[in-house]
Amino acid sequence: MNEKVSTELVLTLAGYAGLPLAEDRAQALALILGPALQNLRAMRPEGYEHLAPGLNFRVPTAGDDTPG
Amino acid sequence: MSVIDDGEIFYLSLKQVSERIASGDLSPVEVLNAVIERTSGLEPRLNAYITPTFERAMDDARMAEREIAAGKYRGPLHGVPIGLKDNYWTEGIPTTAGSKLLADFVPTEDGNAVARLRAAGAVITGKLNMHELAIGGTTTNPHYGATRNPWGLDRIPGGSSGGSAAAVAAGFCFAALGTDTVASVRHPASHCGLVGMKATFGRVSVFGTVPLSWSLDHVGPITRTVEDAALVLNRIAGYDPRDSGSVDVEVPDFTRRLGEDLNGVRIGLPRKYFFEPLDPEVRDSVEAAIGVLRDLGASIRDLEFPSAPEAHVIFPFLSRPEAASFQEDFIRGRAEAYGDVRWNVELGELILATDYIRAQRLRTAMRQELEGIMREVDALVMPTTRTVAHPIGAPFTTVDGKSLDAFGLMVGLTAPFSLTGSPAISVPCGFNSEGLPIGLQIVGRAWDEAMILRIGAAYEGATPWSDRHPTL
Repeated sequence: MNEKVSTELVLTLAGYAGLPLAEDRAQALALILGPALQNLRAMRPEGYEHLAPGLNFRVPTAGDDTPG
Repeated sequence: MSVIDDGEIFYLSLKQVSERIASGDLSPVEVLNAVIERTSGLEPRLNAYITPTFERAMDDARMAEREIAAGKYRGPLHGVPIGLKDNYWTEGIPTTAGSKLLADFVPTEDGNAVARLRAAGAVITGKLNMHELAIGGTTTNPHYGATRNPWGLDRIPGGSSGGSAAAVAAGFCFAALGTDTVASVRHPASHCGLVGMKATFGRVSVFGTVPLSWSLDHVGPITRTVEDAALVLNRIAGYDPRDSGSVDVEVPDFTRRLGEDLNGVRIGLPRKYFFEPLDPEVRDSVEAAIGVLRDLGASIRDLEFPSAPEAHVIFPFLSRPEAASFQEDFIRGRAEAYGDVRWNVELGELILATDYIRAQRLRTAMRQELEGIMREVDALVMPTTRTVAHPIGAPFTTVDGKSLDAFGLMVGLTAPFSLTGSPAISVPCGFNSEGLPIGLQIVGRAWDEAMILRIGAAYEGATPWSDRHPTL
C-alpha cells in the first residue's frame, strides 16, 4: 500500500467526510497521518489473516436492555 | 514533604477516615469542613476544580451524619468526601469534560459510577479539572486553566485526570474517580505520588461518562493507598447492561487478599522497551522496588512483551476515529471552540474504516500475545512513566538522552495494557532528587485485580511512600 499522504489527499478525504478544513490545517495533518499510516500498515504479525477485530457487539438476552 | 500529624484530617487515608466516621470519632460534616477549609486555602494555587459542589456536599454530609447516628451505616464510603473528574455525568451539575463544547451540558442523571458512589453514601465534593476532552496528559487546559502538581507547583500533575490526582494529593478529598483510555488514571497517579488503578476492561461500567474512545475507556479510582483503591472498586464494579463493554462476571471483595505475603507469587519484568529509555532516577527507584518485591517473597524473572512498542502506533487509529464519531457535530459545527486537541479529532475523520479495523485486529494479536506471557507469571511490573512530572509548558523531547514524541513519553508504558484490557495499578515507589514522585506499574491477568492489589499492598506496606504528603 502507498501511504504517501498529500495535502490534496487530506482535503479530498475531508471533503468526502463533509469536514470543513483549511489548507494549512490539511497540510499539517498530512504530515502526521502519512508516517502513522505507514507504521500501522507495516504491522502484520503471524496469523494476522485469522485475527478478528476486538469489537463489542452483543445480542441482548431477555431482560437485558443493553444498547449494544 | 511532610508526614501526617493528628491534626491533618484531610491527609488521612480513606480507610482511616472511614473508620473514624464509623466509630463516631469524626462526623461527616466535620470531615467535609476540614476538606473545604483545606481546598479554600489552596485551590487558587492548584486549580484542581472546574466546579466544586460544596453546598450540595454539605447537605449530603449532614444526611450521612443523621443516617449514621440512626444506625443506618452504609459502609466504608459513607460520609467520605470523594471528587469526580469532570467527564462523569452528575445530575443537575455541569459536566464539561474540560471543553467549552460541553460548557452548558448539565446531565439529567448520574453516571453509573457516580450513582454507585452516592448509593454507598459518598459525599461528592465536585468536578475536577482534566485535559481537554481527555485527549492528552498535561491537564494544561486552555479553557479552565492549568492544574498544578502539589509536589511541584511548576509541574504538570499528569493527565488526563490531572485534577483528580492533584485534589487527592493536596488533601481536597480522600479519593477521586478518573478515566483511563491509555494512561489517564495511572499517569497522573504516578506524577502525584498516589495509587491509580484501572480494572479489567468491562469490570466497571463506563455508562455516564463523556466518552473519548468506547473501546478503550476505563473508569478508575485515584487514592492514597492500595486498600483505598480496593474499597472504591468494591463499590463501583459490577455488570451494567447500559455499557456494551460491561461483562457479567462475579465481583469479588477486592480487599480480601490484601495482607497476604508474596511467597509463591511470580512476577515478570519486561525490561526490553519498558526500561529503555528511562530517566536514571526513575530507573533507580524501580530497581529498588523490584528488590523489595523479591525480599517480600516474590520470584522475579525477565521476559519480553514483543508487541508492546506497537501500542502507541495502534491506539491512535482506535481512539481518534471513535472520538471523531462522538464529536462529529462539534468538529463540523463548532470547531472554533476546541483548544489544542482539535487536530486529533480532525485526524479521526480522515482514517479509513479498514485502518480502524486493522488496528482492532492488531489489538487482538497483542492481547493474545500477553495472554501467553501471563500463563507463566502472575503479574508484570515496570515503571508507570519514563520520567517524573515535566514543567508546565515544557516540550516533551528526550529521556536519558533519547528522543521520544509526547505520546511515546506519556503513554508508552501504559497504553499496551489499555489495548489488552488488562487490570493495572500504579503505586508510589519513591521520589527523585527534586522531591517529585515516581510510580511503579503492576499489571495482572484479566479479571485478577485481586493479585495486583495484593502485590501493591505488600509493597506499600514495606515502604514509606504512601505516608508522605506534599508540603503546601
